[in-house]
Amino acid sequence: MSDRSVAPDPVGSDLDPSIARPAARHLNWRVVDIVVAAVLGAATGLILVAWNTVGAAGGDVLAALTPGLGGLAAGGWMIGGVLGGLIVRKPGAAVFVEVVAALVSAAVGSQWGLLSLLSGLAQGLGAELIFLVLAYRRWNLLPALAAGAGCALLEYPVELIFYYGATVPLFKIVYLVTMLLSGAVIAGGGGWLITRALARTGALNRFEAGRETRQRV
Amino acid sequence: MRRHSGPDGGAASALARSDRRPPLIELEDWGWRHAGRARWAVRHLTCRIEPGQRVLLLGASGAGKSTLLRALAGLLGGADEGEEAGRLSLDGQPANRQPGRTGLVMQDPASQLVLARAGDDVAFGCENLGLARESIWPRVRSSLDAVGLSLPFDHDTAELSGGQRQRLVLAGVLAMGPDLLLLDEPTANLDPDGVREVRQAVADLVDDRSRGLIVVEHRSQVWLPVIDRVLVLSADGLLADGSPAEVFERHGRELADLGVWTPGQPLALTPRPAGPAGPTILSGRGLVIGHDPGRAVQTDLNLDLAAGQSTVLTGPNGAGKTTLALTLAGLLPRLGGQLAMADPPAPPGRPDPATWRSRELLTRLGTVFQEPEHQFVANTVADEVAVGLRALGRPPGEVASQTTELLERLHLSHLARANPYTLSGGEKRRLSVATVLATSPAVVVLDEPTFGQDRRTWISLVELIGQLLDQGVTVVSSTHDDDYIALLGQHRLVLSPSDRPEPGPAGPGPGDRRQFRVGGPESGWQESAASIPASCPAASGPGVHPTGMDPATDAQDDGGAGRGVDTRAGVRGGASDGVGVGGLGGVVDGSGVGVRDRLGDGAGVGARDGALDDGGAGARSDRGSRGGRRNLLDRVNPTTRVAAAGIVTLPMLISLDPVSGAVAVGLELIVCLALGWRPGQLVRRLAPLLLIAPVTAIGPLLYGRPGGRIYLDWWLVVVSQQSVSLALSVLIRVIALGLPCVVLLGRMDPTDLADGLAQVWRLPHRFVLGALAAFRLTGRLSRDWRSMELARRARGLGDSRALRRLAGLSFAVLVTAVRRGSELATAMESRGFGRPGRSWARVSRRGPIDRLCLIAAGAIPLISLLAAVWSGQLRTLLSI
Repeated sequence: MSDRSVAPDPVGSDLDPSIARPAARHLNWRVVDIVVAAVLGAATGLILVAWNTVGAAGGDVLAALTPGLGGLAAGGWMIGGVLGGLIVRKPGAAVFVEVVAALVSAAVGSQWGLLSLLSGLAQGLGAELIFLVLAYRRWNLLPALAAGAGCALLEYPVELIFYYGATVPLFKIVYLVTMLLSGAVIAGGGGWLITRALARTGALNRFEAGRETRQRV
Repeated sequence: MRRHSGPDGGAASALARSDRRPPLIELEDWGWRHAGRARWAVRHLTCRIEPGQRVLLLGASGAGKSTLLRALAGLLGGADEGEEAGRLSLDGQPANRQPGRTGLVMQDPASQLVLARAGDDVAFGCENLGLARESIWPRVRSSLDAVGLSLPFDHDTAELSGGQRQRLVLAGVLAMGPDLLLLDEPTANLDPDGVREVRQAVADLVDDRSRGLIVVEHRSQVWLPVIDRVLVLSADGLLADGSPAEVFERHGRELADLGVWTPGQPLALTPRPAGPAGPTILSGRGLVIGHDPGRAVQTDLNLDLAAGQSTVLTGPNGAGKTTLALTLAGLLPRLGGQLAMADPPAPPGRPDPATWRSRELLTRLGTVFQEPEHQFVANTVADEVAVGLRALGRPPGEVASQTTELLERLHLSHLARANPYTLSGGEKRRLSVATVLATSPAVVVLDEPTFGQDRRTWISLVELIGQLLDQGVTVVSSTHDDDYIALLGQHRLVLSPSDRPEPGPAGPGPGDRRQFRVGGPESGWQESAASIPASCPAASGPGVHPTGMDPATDAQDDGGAGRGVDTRAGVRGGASDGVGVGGLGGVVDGSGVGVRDRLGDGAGVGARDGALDDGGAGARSDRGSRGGRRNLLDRVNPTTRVAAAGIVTLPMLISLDPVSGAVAVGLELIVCLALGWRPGQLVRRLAPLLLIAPVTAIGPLLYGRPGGRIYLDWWLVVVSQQSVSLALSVLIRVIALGLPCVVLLGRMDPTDLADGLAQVWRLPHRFVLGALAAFRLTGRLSRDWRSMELARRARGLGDSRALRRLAGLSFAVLVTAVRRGSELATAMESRGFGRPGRSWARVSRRGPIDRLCLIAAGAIPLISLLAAVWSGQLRTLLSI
């Protein structure tokens, strides 16, 4: 925090900071990064519980009755990781947001306790790996979709161990495909859309993600 | 830093300030531009503030007052957050190199309280500065005393009134030993009592000039007795600077035009004459109001609203003004009694607004919510206004022309394409009124419409309401704004607080709301009927206070009997100020926020606002023996409990057979009973688990690997002997895995868990505490959610499909979450959070009992798996 200085070149600062001033690309977490990431986790955790109370009980039964199509709903649970990565843009953001979301939903209304924590960790890691591979530099739609699919990919073995390990191979394959699709579209695409919409409300002004979408005003 | 090198002495000297002096502030052509902004927030600012001076900082909204305070608090961040020009220094040093030297208090107390217990919250800043533990608690005590809060350290911060909370924030800042207090609209969110409390506390602190003070506030009169200099900021440097008398004399008119409430600048508005008797448009008989069937806020209210006139609902915090307003608006289901609107405007034969569809409200009852943002549902200002008209099915041409006209009338045309959330406070308020006026409701209900508004917005609002009345619209407002009441109080309904007995903080179990909920006092609440004298002729009653604030008469003593009343106001202040139906209401059952209620359109009243406010901080079983529920488990360190849950559950994941699962469940039940759980209690806690477990078994039942006898074979579905056994195993295992988590992790105090995670497991403290603070915010977000849900009903969107409504609500909650999160981050940073070298005021310990817990935890899977091996039934995931 001591490197506060007057920007020497007002023209340069209009450009994308990651290109114009590579040194200004901070991967260190600020307090606002930590707190907003945690609050995002808490809010997504709460929202998921809310969604759960409307549809999930019926949805769960329906999903269980179909051969593996239950994976289609899985993306909703993974949105926090993608959102955290896209908004905060720091190493570990996806994992942190997912873990907080899991903690909150566990405390608020989930029966799963530690298991939801494991799920959260797996999903967060899935998204995190994609962002890591892209060196925390790319935050467009495509990386978002990949991160969503990444969540699903790591969540899949967890679900197998919990519930579906003893099912027939066809079920497992259908479940994997639907989960990946759902992760990419709902968590990835949805997370990307939500990030853009949030940026337009001005709520992300303290984040790069918020400043890109809005013009200087 | 020199000031914090050693532990201070005892309580008396903890805040002794002999070696300190307030800083000299120097600004030289200083400016700041936030990253991503073209405009400078502050520019060309040059001034010098002498040590110990007490300054009122004024200026139009957007003049950079808050930016300047944050700069002085050292919170503006690095080059990635914005661009600095010129020089700003405290005693010649940059502000951000002097943590703890300045203390910032902001507007909204709820976003500044970090921890659940009052003492912990005050200690938070000291911990961040790395003070020695033994010096922290005396500082906490003396800081609480200094702001006149004689609370026990473990008092729940969610149970305080607004004024008490803001004083608690002040105490937290004070404990860090600042030499300069920076207050950013500290009383804007408070009721008149709260304003007096906070002003008095601050006045006492700066009385001996041992601390400097810079305060920003629209309502300048509040601070006149305290300050000795006024600075007026403009977009380009200083507009005025001088003694209060000088500045208000010379620039009074100008300041009033900027929106500042200036002494000697009377409002050029004529009060409406006291209401003549007229036809009644809305009448209530025997109304019982509240958010929750068990907890009526008021009972047996009778009232008649005169058509085409203005009625104000007044009364102290917690008396139920907001609750009544929302009930009258047809949004909050009442708990009893009759409510009827005259026909017309009511639909023929259906006088009760609570039974109307959301769309039917639009032309009859419009509601302006206290927080404008709760009403926003669209991406642009123009769409926001058009939403109601579209819901009514008006033709597009008419929608467009009416929208344009209304935006023109409310001076919002230039913002038509802007995102509603990006507007300024005053613009948001005007927009929220515009959205309601668009559909021309016969009755307009406003909840605290003038709360925190500057003079300009205030005047335009009152003028607008005057125009509505001229057009024959009926207006009902809940308010504690005396000027507003004087101008628009044609009829005044004064709500008195129901006099339910409530234990003061010194009484038994003061903070334990679970006790009220389970125990008897709830029924007592209902009996305490409060009557509203309809059309009270004069502005008198418990909620009405004189406008002028006389420092001599309002020194508020917080001790003794007064405190009991205060506390109650706090508890029920939550219940009335938050809005809640259906939604994320819930039962705090100690495990955290405890959302259990169904989301529904106004069905199922589920708000326990006060209770929800504390977020996850439900149970405090570790602290004292409240509620008599203390058992052995409460003495186990939270981290041990998490570890034990892992040890019990994880080994069980490899096995998938009925024997190991059943043995584990049996052992777990035995342990529970041994710990003193009653069977009924256990079943209640396990209910969600028992409901979901069968669902998880359906997949394996239908699609499990077939084997043995085939019972059903249809398309992909094969139910066989083996798949039945697998399904059974999954079901039992889910219970075996879930039960220990419910027992071990439920009812855990989040603060204690965070202490354990950071101290025992040494997880990075910034992340642990960040998560803890966010966790606390969930209570607030649940309240936002419920309020937004009501607002959607009010805006005509309550009839749309559940999924669509939920999607909109979810996004709105996310926006609010990020904003509140950013605010909270600033508040935490202003208390030194994020620096290395943190100390801990509370110690997280482990002892023999923790070892015992781990051994017991290890024994369960071991015995279960051995039993399965011994019986020959062991089946692992790999062997299937």
